[in-house]
Amino acid sequence: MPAAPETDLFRTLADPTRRAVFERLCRQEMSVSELKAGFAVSQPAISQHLATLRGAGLVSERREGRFAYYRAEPEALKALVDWVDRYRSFWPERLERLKTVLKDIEP
Amino acid sequence: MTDSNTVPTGDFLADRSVMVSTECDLPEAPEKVWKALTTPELLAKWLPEANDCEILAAEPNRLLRYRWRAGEEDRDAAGRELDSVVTFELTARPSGGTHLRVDHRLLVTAPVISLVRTRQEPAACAFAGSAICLLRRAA
Repeated sequence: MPAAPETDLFRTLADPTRRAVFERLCRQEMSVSELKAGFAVSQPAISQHLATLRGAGLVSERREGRFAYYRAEPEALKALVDWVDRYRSFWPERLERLKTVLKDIEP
Repeated sequence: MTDSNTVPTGDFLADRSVMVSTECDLPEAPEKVWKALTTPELLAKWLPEANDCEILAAEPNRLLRYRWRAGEEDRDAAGRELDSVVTFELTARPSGGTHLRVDHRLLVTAPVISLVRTRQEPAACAFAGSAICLLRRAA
């Protein structure tokens, strides 16, 4: 099943600026203008990156009156990272069992 | 664990899949290893999960690929199953044994990155950091 472009995690984080925005928001919640301070791109460009990150579930928005604050949602990556961790220990353990099974097979 | 096993790596690949792969050298011939991979009674002793899997490719004594059935834990934050594919590659060694490589590949589709709203924890940031490192390597 092809992923919709706006929810494509890999395409979203393949952009270096977006990745940098996500990383900064992992450390603390920020407004667009606070975020902009660290980048050599315009505020509309930052807003566009934020919209893409929100579309992929990697960033969430909190509104306070006229102001909007953004923060990273690294939980969006959790399923992937957990999967890798699980099978990194699963396969060596199963291959050890395979070795035992092989020794017991009649020639 | 014997020292003939390689430590599995986890990589986010450029084709948008995530792969865990490992390999080992076995003293038994490919024919015997193939038997352990394809005989239900033998499989039940070391990899029962594979017994009802849909076979995608099979070349006797050389390659076996099937759709891995997601376990209870193989779900994204929204509870949807994570689909993956396992490939076993067998290569005959000059000594008469077999070099076995296992590739387990998870296709990253939209459901994996479901929208979740949970409180932010420092530990979560740590793994986000490691995920970003892997993505950077793939980019």
